[in-house]
Amino acid sequence: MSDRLSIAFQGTKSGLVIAIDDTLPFDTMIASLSEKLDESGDFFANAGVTLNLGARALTEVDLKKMMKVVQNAHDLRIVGLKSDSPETVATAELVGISRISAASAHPGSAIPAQQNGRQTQQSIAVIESLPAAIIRKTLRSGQMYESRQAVVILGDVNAGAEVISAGDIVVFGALRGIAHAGAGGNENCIIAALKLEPMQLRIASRIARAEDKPGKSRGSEFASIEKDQIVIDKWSSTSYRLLSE
Amino acid sequence: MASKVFVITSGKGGVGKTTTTAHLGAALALSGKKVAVIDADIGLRNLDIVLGLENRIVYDLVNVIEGACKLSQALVRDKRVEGLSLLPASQSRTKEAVQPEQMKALCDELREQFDYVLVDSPAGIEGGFRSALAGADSAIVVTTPHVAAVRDADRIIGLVEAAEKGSPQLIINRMDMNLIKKGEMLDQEDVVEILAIRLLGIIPEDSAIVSASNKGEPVVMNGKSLSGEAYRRIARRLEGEDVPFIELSSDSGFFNRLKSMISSN
Ligand SMILES: Nc1ncnc2c1ncn2[C@@H]1O[C@H](COP(=O)(O)OP(=O)(O)OP(=O)(O)O)[C@@H](O)[C@H]1O
Ligand SMILES: [Mg+2]
Repeated sequence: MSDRLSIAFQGTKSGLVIAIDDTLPFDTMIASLSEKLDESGDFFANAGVTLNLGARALTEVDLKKMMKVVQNAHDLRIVGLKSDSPETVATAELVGISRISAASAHPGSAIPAQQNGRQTQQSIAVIESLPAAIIRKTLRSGQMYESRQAVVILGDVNAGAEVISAGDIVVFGALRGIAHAGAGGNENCIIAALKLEPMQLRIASRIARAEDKPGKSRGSEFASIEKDQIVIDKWSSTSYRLLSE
Repeated sequence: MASKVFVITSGKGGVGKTTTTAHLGAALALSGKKVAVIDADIGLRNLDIVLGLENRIVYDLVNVIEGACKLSQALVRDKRVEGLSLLPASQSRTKEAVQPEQMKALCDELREQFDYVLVDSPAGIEGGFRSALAGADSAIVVTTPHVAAVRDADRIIGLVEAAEKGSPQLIINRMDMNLIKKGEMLDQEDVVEILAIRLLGIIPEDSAIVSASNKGEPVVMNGKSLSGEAYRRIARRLEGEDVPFIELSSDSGFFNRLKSMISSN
């Protein structure tokens, strides 16, 4: 029983925060977390949640497991992670969650992170899955757009232009330039376009470049990583299923 | 309010900015408009040569900006094309001699006296281009149907948009149907699809342009040349008329040449 008290739900201005005691053993914590989420019923349905992990150090497998528990409960969306553990931060980056320093994560906060006695030098807040950035313009040669968010471009990305995102990149137009998705290292990201005629695609640290005599694209396509390689497939109305594993 | 000060620009050099400024300026003037063409390619002036006004220059743009003369003293009136005036570039100075604010003030002064002001921009994306752009309401981007020229045109369009000069209009110059057929050039649709701005006109590759430039006599004055007709139509489109694009054919092909040889016998 007392374990469950170590998981606290707090309503804040920026949404729901679940603070998780970092001294609980991992398995106990997971059990308590799902129990507590079950109890809350539909109360928090569709809410955006920030998980405060304290100094807990998480491996990739554990972090994903934990995120799954939260995401499966009543369609909660994880919009942020806060962690004081450099290891967890590194793990988070590995799964494509990008880092925001404590100071910039809370621009309005009264106590700057550096001066807060409890927080140390390595204290880092991590914010994940910021809503997608929607760009209503064509990126022309020489222009570059870079974001921690997923990026949707309502326009073309012309040869000589570049889009970089820590998440997915979707071009509602022709992609003729360079796109780099999952720039934080997330290999699950995709690059989709109505016309995929890029000079170069990058997902995480993989690179694919256009053939020397590239053909014209026929219909919407997307690029993803399969068996350590960037592959291109036709985008169909069921393609999203392949992605949500 | 409709735009009246246009910068003619391209990014890439040598694609036909000066040619376009001269012939479009002349076409507008021949249709009864009062037109000023400004050579903003300081240090590399040649708009005066294309217009055949080289020997009538007394003062230039830099003299006006530095207050050495009045604007009216520097404007060279074209005696053959009524309504057309040239503000020549200085040949002895560099691009730094003209700042964007000065160019803007100059264009605003000309705007009072003319129906159209066309500014011939230097190539590139540096200071000279920025000054040329400063006084304009909008831009006319010239490109040839080559990949490199289109890439640079795209770059320039991005800069014009970022300067909040609206969406530029496009002129595709030196269109050559023979080369398009051979796949050595992009076709019109490819160019328009990539650049995605309004197509204002297409100028064919035409030897009449070269000889006109050497003679200093705008092609639009000659009723017969295809490029002259193309520029006249662009002038009408600027005036808001809906005019069809000229038909281009690969008429200098081997068989056509053969045909004309036979018929000339
Ligand atoms: N449609 C055409 N057909 C044939 N020749 C052309 C055509 N248009 C331009 N030219 C020739 O191409 C050359 C370059 O043209 P022009 O000087 O107008 O280019 P520009 O863009 O002003 O160059 P710069 O960047 O050096 O200022 C000239 O010799 C001109 O006569
Ligand atoms: Mg020129």
